Amino acid sequence: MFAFPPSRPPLPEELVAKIRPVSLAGDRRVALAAPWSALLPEMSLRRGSTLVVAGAPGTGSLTLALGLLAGATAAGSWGAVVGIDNPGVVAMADLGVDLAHTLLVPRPRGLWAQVVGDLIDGIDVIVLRPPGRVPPRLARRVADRVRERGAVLVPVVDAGGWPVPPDLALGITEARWRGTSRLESRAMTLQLTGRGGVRPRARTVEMPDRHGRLRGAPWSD
Amino acid sequence: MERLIGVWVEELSVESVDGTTLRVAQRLLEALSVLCPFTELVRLGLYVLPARGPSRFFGGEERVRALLASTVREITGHEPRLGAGDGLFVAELAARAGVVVAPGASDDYRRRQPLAVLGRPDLAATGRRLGLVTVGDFADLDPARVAERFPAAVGPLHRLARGERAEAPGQRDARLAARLARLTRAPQRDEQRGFFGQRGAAEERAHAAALRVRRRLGDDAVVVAGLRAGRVPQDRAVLVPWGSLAAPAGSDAAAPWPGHLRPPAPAVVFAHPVEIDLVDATARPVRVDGRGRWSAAPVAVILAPGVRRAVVWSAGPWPSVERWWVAPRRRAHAQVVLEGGEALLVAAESRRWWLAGVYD
Repeated sequence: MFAFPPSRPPLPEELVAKIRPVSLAGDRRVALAAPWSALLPEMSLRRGSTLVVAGAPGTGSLTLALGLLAGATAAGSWGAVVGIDNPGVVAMADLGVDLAHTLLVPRPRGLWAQVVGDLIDGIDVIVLRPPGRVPPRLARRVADRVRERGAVLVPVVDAGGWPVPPDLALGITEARWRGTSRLESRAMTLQLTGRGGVRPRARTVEMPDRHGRLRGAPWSD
Repeated sequence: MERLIGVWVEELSVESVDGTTLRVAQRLLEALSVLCPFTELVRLGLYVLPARGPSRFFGGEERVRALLASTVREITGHEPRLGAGDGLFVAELAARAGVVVAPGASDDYRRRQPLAVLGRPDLAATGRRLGLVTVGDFADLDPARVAERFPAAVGPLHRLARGERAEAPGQRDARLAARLARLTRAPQRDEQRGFFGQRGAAEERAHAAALRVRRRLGDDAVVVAGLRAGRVPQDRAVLVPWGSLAAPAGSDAAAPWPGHLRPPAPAVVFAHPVEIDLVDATARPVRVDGRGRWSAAPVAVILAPGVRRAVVWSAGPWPSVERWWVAPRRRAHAQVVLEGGEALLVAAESRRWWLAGVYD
């Protein structure tokens, strides 16, 4: 049936060690599929970083975070959603989330920090809505573990709800629904801030648009 | 009821996408069948065999369990949990807990279990309210009363609790045997995993992460989502515990129905809708009439007693009659935008309003 043996002989171990790079540059980032990549300064998520999505409840912070998850899972990464008790699965699918590569932990109870710790070794992007106020020490500890392990943490909080300065923050400053005979789309003003030379900037996007996705021009300088 | 030895291999209870689990499960089944030809793979992760024959042959049940454990370790590299008890249901409980129930003590063991082991969280919750804590408490209810007060699906569980049934509904995976048979015919395609097998490795790591969370929070803590056919978002979502074989439906079965609610869909959808009120300018409840029109324009929504939010915009209502296999279901959906800018999906059913979702 086979013209040659289907299993190839194993490569010598020293050779494998030599030809495998210690860490690929691309490996240190989580790729984002379009159009989500346009939301971030370097078109992708840096591994080990925390990206806070902040906005008043009900103004689209959850959609924005799930959108980033869509961008990552559509590009082949694994994602997790922790602490969202009633996820809108249809909205997730419309945004482009690859449901087959997404784990949901709807009710982590008081153990969300431990659950994030359990996930960061195998999951690339973790969307987290912490229940209630987050103690600064706990936030710092979780962010440190994430940095160590190379995952990306996306806490979804009210404005100012993440008590330590994150690497990046996308804040929703204004959200307005447009509708005719039904809800059509939501115009959302996003404010990007961050550490390490990230220039603060603002833009307006449509999210969700009438197809449940993201629409908007790149960051204007 | 026949005494069974149960072998629980947690790592094999979760199916990997690339089919590794299934292949290892099959190999283990073949190995265990050498010890006892009546070994059965009930579900991924759970093997059972009759206790009596092998015990006589190998010189005692304890000796059989030691052989089983070493075989599992050798084939899979995982540490199994072993248990024994009468009937499939008790055998699984015992195996998962790693308990060998003494001959004749299975009734007592089953009755001591918390009600949740019957696998119906709603029953467990109802039971708690009624002061039924254990399976035994539930078993002591009069069967006639149970048939009268509970849904029909609870009947078999009650017989299970009473020890009149050996196995729980759905305990066996009916499709597994056919899938294993197909597996032995299909050529193995490990080569397709990619150079250095990176893809397989990422998958393995994700599965290990899910398993860690499940160990910490319980079997149902990690969930995967899928879509099925339906008209409104709350009907289309399928959420199943991660690792269960009832995989979310595929894309062909997931198409929305004609007349479905078009996107955008709410980012928050309540599995159990929350009762709310919609009121008009005179503070009277808004209704949807027989022709699918508002009785009056809604001006406020009352989310909870005392929590009143003004409505600045509304769309709908969109009435629908769905002839399910039960009685026809009449519903109407509407969208409202509140003063603060939040948008909600609301549904009218049985002359009440429900909060179905939030466009967060």
